[in-house]
Amino acid sequence: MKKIFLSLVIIICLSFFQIYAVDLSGNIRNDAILLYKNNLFSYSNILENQLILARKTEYWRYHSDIRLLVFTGKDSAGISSTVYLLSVPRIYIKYFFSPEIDITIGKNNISLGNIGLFNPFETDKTVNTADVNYDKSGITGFIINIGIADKSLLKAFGAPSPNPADSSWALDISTNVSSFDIGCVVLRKPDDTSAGFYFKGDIELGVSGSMAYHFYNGSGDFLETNLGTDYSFFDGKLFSSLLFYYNQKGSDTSAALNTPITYSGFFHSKLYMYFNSLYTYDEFLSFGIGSIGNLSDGSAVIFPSVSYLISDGLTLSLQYNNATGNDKQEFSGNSLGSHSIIFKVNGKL
Amino acid sequence: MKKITLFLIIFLSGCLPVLSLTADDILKLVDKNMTFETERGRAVMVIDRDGRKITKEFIVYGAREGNKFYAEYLNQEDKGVKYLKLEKELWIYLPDADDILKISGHMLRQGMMGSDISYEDILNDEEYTKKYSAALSEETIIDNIKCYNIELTAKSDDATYYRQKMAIDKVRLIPLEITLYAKSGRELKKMKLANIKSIGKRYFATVISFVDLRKNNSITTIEYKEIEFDIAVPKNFFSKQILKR
Repeated sequence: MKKIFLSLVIIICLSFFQIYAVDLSGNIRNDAILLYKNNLFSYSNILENQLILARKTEYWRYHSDIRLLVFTGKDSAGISSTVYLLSVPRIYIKYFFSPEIDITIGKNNISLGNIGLFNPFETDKTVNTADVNYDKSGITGFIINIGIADKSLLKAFGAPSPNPADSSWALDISTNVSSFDIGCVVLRKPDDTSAGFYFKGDIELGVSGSMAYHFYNGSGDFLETNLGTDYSFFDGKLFSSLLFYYNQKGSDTSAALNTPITYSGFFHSKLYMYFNSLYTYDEFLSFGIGSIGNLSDGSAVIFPSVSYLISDGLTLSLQYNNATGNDKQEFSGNSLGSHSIIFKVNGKL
Repeated sequence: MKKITLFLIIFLSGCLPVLSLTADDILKLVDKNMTFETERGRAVMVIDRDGRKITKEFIVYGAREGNKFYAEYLNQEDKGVKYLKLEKELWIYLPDADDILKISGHMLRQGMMGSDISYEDILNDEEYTKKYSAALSEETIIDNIKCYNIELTAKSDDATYYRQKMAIDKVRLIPLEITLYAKSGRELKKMKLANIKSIGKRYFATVISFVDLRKNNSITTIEYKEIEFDIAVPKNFFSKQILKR
């Protein structure tokens, strides 16, 4: 009886997709991780199945991103277990009032300023050192985009809360001047309001930068800024980028390393660097190396990788992570694992 | 009879300068064929390397005024990824982030989506007569078609390729083969244009192959499934806002 019922549900859903032209796609990813930490080896596996349902019409768009994550490994007590986690990082409707104006309601990614690591206007400052590009969960609220001219945009974001003090909102206005994208952002979060600017352009090299001044409700205002550059060599086959980040509120001592970050910051210290380089051997094979470094205490995470495209949409990657710091440093082997090897399989559905 | 023959010889000799074209004339006619006010197309790009193939499908819009270009990928792996070019600047829309990223100028030298065609190749739609000076050399035959042979030399350093050699169909005035050279004289890429169709007032090659001569056994082919020229494009179509639609 259950099988018949389930079959009927599947047939009805498929018919719905067929009738209403719902686009079904997604991604399957498996990370097998071998970790060496505190003189012990451990193995874990993360399987993530992403299902995207989308529908696009002339006047509106629907998008949902549902993920089933299966984690197999040892928990904090050292006991092997399998954990299932269902999440919905994004689900929203976007309505187009006109070619220039649209509104998004639901849970979606909020992008303010220059997207990427160490963005001072990032709403979620958690960093996954094993995969810095892993996308983050969205925020429930609304986003209004207004195109002012060909190269100018106004973005307004709001996440209301029953308690107004817990609400968030932001304004981001950007334009293009002399081949530079420039913009200003005002961002209000429950415990922190910040305002600043950002830019991205070319002076032979690619250059980018952001600066945010935080009017912090807690203990004192502070400045957060980054400055980066990028360039391609050998007719674009080798791409390299370097970014420096400064957080005035960061700690000067290693004593703070074991305490949680209570303010709007990525890590504990003041000064950081992010380096990334990608060599594209051909359409199928590429080699990369990245590093996040704490320039205040001298520790770093280094992650070289190789990636191979087996077939359309199916990629194999091998990544090695090394945390170079000692116990008194932020990126220490004791907290992150001295060495880890991650074997990734990624398939687009 | 002799007088008639002599008259014909004198008459035809006088006509020859009118009938024969200079290199610049030919290049102007090629530009006339290959430039357009607006275009819309749907194409399939196949990257073939040592027998392994990757297929990409996309739609493109272009406008000559303001040097504008829009492309949207339709194949499942890249679905929703869009590019916008305005003058010399390029942005990419990433559907996963639902946001727009500016692409640095130096990245235009990269192959588009891993192909042998760089962004510069695709986005460079300026008239040849503006960027190159031309010289005519000995005619050639390609696929049983008589062709003019023209050598182009860049007028300034900002041209993507310093030198080009074109074999141009004498009747339809469209290049059938183009070889691209660096300033050192090294051959960089070879383009072959095939499946020529008459579309409105112009001839257009619906199959274009790129071979990167610096690689072994690598060829990228673009086949236009649909193409239209000089169509009406909505106002404000080429804008950052439209990338998010």
